[in-house]
Amino acid sequence: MIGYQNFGDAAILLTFGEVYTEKVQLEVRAWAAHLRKVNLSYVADLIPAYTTLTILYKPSEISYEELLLVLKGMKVDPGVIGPERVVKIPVCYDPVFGIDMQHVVAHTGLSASQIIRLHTEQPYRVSMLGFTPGFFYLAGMDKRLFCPRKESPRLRIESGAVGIAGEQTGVYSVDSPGGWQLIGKTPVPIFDRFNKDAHFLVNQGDTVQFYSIDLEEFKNYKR
Amino acid sequence: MISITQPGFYTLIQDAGRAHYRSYGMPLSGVLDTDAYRLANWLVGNTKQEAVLEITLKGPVLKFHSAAMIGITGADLQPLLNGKPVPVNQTLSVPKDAVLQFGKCIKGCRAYLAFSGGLCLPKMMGSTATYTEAKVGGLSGVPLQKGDCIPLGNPKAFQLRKVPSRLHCKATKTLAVRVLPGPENTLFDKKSLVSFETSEYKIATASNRMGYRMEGLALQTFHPVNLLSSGIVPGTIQVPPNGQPIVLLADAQTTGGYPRIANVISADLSFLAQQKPGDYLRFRMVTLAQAHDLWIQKENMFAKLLDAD
Repeated sequence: MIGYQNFGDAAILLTFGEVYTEKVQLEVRAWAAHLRKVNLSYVADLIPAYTTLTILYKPSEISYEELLLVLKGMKVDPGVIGPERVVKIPVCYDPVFGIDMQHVVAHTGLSASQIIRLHTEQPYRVSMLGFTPGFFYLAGMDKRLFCPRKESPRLRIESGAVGIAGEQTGVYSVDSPGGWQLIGKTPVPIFDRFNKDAHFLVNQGDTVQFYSIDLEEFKNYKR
Repeated sequence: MISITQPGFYTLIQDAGRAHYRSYGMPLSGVLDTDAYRLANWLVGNTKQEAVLEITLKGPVLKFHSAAMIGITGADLQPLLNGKPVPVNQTLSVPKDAVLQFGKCIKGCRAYLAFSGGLCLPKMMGSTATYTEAKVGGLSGVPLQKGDCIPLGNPKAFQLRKVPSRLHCKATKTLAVRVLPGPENTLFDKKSLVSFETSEYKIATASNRMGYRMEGLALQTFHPVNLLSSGIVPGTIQVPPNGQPIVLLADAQTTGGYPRIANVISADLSFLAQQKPGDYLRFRMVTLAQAHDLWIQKENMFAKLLDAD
């Protein structure tokens, strides 16, 4: 059952489930992929999230009721979700970048090398993009790595910093303030403002796999 | 070409924004007052999408290295051309080597300065809009700096114009903003919904293009809610745990996890953009049909004026 709600006067919010599951996410992605494909002139933009899809429309071109009818009549094939890639991201866990590693060690009771092993061992599904350009939310971090955010956020964290916050792990995509516990840094741009062909490293539905590099490899890393 | 002698408080290159990238977490950006933006470009015979300067509260000092026609709309920052006061809301002819500066902001918050032929700038993701959080657009993604130079485009022939007075800046100490219930509106307790619709909220100093932080009666949900991040659109009003609502604007992140109590209607977003920190807002619920009628009326009025010649 899809929930339809008007969201302001120029968007409609589709809800595909109460909780985030793989199935719900496939539906969000299938709908986003379908709407991109049919490319309706009155649809201005899409915001796919964990369990919802926000469809921005142009009320001067279509009424809410008409749009609702169009959407309810839409046949969306849940099997068509666009490409799913595995994106391998090198991370240097050297203390130069992993400035909160000792805090995570103290909190989790694991050693730094165990933390690095657990962090790089498993693939993570990209559940959605948001927060800052290209930032991806990853699902399924090992419970043993859970660690609360910093009590007071840092004023500036450089893009590429890899951190842990509660049950989540992620990579800062632009320089910004933030409260994540920093355990490393990637030399790969998550958001590349100058690369016209690929501004964003990953998409919703991709799988991210981190792998460990040393400081030398970090310094010599070439795009 | 123009050069920036003094940048002012916060002067940004903006246009209609960066549509189609919100799936990737890239906000819309673009001008906050779309009405004043369209009118500024109209004053100088430009297309609706041309880049302009969005000038906040304190204006820059600009030097013109070639003659140009300009239009200033939105907030009244008392512009001076070569030291002499010039009117806002009408086409102005600027001779070569002239200096444009601004005085005190006597009405509104944001002025829009358009140049005949527009600004010659490379687009990033389909737009020249400056989005400072990600250093995107404008000149290296930051507000204008002293010494910046911007080439002007080739103007088309057009007639001198004046903005009808009914479309001048409507800023007022307390603005009534029309809203629709947001997706989580029903999660708020009755007392909070009454407070939201009947009391005044002050725009806090810590407000910016991402959003207006409001100060007033705290709003609470019946039960603590833990939401999964979901979409945010221009005008979304979200309520963080401290109970003080935030009205999200063009540079807001694309998703958020706080309950969305309401959404400012499209027709009122431009009015909102002219309220400044220290001003007040009142929120008044309307129906979706009313919101759409108001929007279509507004669009028709603009079409009649802008497409007339």
